[in-house]
Amino acid sequence: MQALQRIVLLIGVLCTSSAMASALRMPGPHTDRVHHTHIKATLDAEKHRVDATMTLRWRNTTDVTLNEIPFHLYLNAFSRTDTIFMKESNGGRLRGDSREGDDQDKFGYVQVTSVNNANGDDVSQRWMTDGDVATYTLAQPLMPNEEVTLNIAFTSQLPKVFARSGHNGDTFNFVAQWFPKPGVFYKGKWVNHNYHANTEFFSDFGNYDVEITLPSDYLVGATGYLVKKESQESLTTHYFQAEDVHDFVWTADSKFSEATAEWNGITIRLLHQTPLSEKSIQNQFDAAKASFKWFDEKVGAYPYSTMTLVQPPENAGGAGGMEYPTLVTTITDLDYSEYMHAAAMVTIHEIGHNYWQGIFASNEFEESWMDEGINSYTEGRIMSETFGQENILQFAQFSVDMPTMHHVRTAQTPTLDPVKTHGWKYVSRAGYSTNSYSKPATILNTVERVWGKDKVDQLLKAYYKRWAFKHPATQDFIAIAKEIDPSMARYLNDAITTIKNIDFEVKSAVSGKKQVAGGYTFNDDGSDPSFSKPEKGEGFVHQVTLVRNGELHPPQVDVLLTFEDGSTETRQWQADDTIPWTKWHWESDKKLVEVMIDPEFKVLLDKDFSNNTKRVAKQGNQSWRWAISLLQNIQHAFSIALPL
Amino acid sequence: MKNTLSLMWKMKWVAVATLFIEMLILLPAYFVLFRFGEKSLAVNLAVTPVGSSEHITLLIDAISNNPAFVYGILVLVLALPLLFLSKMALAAGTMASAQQQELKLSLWLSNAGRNLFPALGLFLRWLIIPIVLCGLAAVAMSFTDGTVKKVFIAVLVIAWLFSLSWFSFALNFTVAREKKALIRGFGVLRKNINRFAVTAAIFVAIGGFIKLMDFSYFSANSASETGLGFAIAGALMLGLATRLLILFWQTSHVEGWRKVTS
Repeated sequence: MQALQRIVLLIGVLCTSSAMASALRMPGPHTDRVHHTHIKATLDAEKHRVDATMTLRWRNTTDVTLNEIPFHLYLNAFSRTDTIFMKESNGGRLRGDSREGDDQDKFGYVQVTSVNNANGDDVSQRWMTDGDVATYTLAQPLMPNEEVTLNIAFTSQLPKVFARSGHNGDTFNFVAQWFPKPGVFYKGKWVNHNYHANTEFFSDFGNYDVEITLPSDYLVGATGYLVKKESQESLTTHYFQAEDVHDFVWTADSKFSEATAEWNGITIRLLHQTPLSEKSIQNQFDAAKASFKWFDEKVGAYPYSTMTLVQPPENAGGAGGMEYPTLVTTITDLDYSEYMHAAAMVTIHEIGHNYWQGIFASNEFEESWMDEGINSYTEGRIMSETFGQENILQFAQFSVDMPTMHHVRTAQTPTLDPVKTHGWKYVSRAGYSTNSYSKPATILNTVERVWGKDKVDQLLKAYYKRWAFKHPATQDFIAIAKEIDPSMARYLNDAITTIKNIDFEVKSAVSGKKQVAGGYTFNDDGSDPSFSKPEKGEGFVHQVTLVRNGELHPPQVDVLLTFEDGSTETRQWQADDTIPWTKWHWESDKKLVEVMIDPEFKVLLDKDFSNNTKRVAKQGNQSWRWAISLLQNIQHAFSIALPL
Repeated sequence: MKNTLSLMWKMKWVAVATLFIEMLILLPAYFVLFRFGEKSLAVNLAVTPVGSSEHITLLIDAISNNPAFVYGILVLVLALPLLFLSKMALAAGTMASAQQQELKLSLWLSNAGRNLFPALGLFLRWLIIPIVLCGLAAVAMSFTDGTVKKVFIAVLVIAWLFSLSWFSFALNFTVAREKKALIRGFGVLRKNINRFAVTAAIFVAIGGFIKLMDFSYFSANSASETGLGFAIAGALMLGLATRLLILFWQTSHVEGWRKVTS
C-alpha cells in the first residue's frame, strides 16, 4: 500500500513538474470538496481593509436534509470589548501579545453587505448575524447531494494584530479568518461555535479560487498556488488556487523579502523581514525539509505543492507561530542566534499542523489535543530524529529534552479536566494549554516508551491512511490504537478521556540481617521445652512496599533494585487494577540499598518521579554532589564578579 | 609585578582564612540543600547523571512536591548579605594589613572590623561609577547588533573592571583614613593605567580558567564513581585558587597605590 502511495506520488510529482504546476503534489481530489469558494478581494493598504465578493457553492454531503447553513464571522471577535473572545482573553491578551489600547485601529470586523442567490436575487433577509457567527436560512430544504450557491459581498477591517489576524499599523497585513466561512455539519449536528480565546478552528474541505488586488509593490503569500499575476497601473491582481484545503489565508507586505527552496516537489517559500542572514534563511529551510522528510517517512505524504513560511515583523508578533493550510507563520526573531533552535522549532511545529490540522481537520473547538497534542509529540521527534536537536535547553552539562519539558508542565498542572474537553470549558488557560499541548505529548511519549516506538509509528501511519481529510475524532484515533494493541488503546482512552492520574511511590524499603528463629522448642517426649537464643544468620531479608497513587497505570512497570555491592536486579511490577499497592518480601545474600520504580522514566505521566526512589541505607556520596557543585559555582561567580 | 607577588605571598594566609570564613557563612545553605537532597532528591547517579534530563526531572518534581529546596535557596539568599558584609570587611582589612606590610591574624581581623563601615560608605558612593559607565555601555549594546554588539559587550566588561579598579584604589585611601578617597582613587588609577590593564588581563584570564575548572569539577562530581574525598579536595582547591586570584587583585592595587603616594 505504501509502495502504491509512493508510485501515485511520483506520478503526481512528474505530472505537475512536466505538464503544469498545480496546488496539489498528489493528484486529487482527496476530499468531499464540500464547497467551492471564489473570492475577489481588494486590499486598501492604507486602511488595512479588504472589500470582497464571494461566490460560495456549498454542497450537502451529509445524509440529512438541511434547512440552514451557519457561518463564522471570526473577525467580529475583534469588533468590541464585550465579545466572547475579548472577554475570555481578558480584554485582548493572548499568546504573549495584547491589544494595544482602545483606538479605532485596534479593532476589526467583517461586515456582510449583501447576500444574493444564484439568480442574483437579494436574499439578505435570510442572513442573520449574531456577533461572530451568522445563520443563513435556506429558501428551501437542501437535500443530500444538492448544492446551493450564494453571492456574498463583505468588508473585512483588520485589527492591529495581537491574535493571529491583523495589521502592524504600517505595511504588514495578515489576512486570516477574514471571510464568512460555513460551519461543519459533523456527527449529526452543526458545529459552528463562537470564536473563543482558547479555541482555534474547524471547517470543511473545499476548493478556493481567490483573486487579490493590491498595490504592485506588495509581496503576497497565500494558501495554495499562485496561478498568475496581472498588473494594471499601480495595482496587481494575484490569482491563487487551492484544492482540498479547509481555509484560505493570505498576507501582504511591501517590506517582505523572499527566498525559495524545493523539497521533493514541494516549493518552500520564505517571506521574511530584512535584513536576515543566509544562515537564518537556511535554518528555516532545513527545519521545513526536516519536517517534510519525517512526515513522509513516518506518517504519509504531503499532498500539496507549496508551503509558505511567513516571518511577521517585530511589531506584529501576535501573527507569529500560527498554522494555516500550506502557509504558516514563524516567529519574529529568525536571526541565526540563540533563538535559532526556537525559530526552527516553531517552523517544525507549524508545519506539523499542516498534517494534524491541515490534512486531518479534526474538530479543534472540541478536541484541540488531536491537533496541538499530537503535533507537540511529533515536533519533539522531528527535532531529535531529523533535525538533530534533541534538547530544547542545553547549558554546560545541563540538558532538558522535549519529553522532559512536557512531563514537567503536565506534572505541575492540576488534573482537573480530561484532555478531551471543549476548548473554552477548561478550568483555566493553563488547563487548556497543558491539556492541549504537553499532556497529550506526554501521553504519547509514555506510550512510545512503554509500548515501543514501532507501535506509535504504526498508529500514526494507520491514522493517516484511514482518516486523512475525514475529520477524525478522539475515538477514531483510539480505535486504530485498539487494532494495534488493546492495552495501549485502553491506556490512551483513560489518559485522554478521564482525569485518572498516576504517581508511583516506594512507600517503604527495609533490608536487614536474616534472623535465625529462637526461643522455646517443644520436645515430643514431653520433657521441658529446650531454649535457644534468636541469632543473626547469613544473608539478608528485604521488604519493599510499592504504591501506585491513581489508576492510570500501564500493565507493568520496571523496578530497579540496587544492592550493597553495586549489583542490580530489575523486577517487574504487574500493577493490579483493584489493589493499588504491592509488598515484596524476599531473601538474598546481599544487602538491598535502593529501590527505584521506573528507572528508565518510561511512564512520563507519573506526577512525581522524586518519590519513585527510596534508599534503605544512607549513601552520603549521592545527594551532596549537586549541592556542593551548585553552591561552589555560585560562590566563585560572585567572588570573581566582585573581587572582595 | 614582582612586588605584588611578594606581597601576595606574605598575605597568603588571608586567602585561606577568608575561604574558611566564607564556607562557614554558607554552611547553613550547604546543610539545608544537602538535607533536601537526602530526603527528597534520592538520585541514582548511574541512572540519572547530574544535569541529565532525568536528573532535571527529578529535581523539578522534588522541588514541586517539597518546599525544602525553596528553604535552601532562602537560606542562601539570607546568607548573601552577611557574606557580602564579611567580604567587604575582610577586603578592607586585607588592604590595611597589606599597606602595613604585616600580617597578623588578630590585626587583620581588627582592621576588618574597624574599616567595615568606611568601606561600606565608599562602596555606596562608588556605585554611581559602574551605574554610569556600565549603563552607557549597556545602552549602546542594546542599540547595536552583530559584531558591534560584541564590541560593546567587551566594553561593558572593561567598564566593570575599570570601575572595580577605581574602587580598589579608592579603598586604599579609605583604610588609610584619608579624605576624598574616590577622587584620589581615580588619580591613582589614571597613573596606574598600565598596571590596571595587566592586572585586569591576568584577572580575567585566570578567572575564566577557574570558571572552566568549576564546570569540569561539576562534570567530575556528577559521575557516580567520584568519591567524597575528591569532591571536598576539589572544592577547597578551586575555592583557594579563587581567593588567591582576588588577593592578587587586592595586593596589585595596594602596590599601585603605594607607588603613587610614597
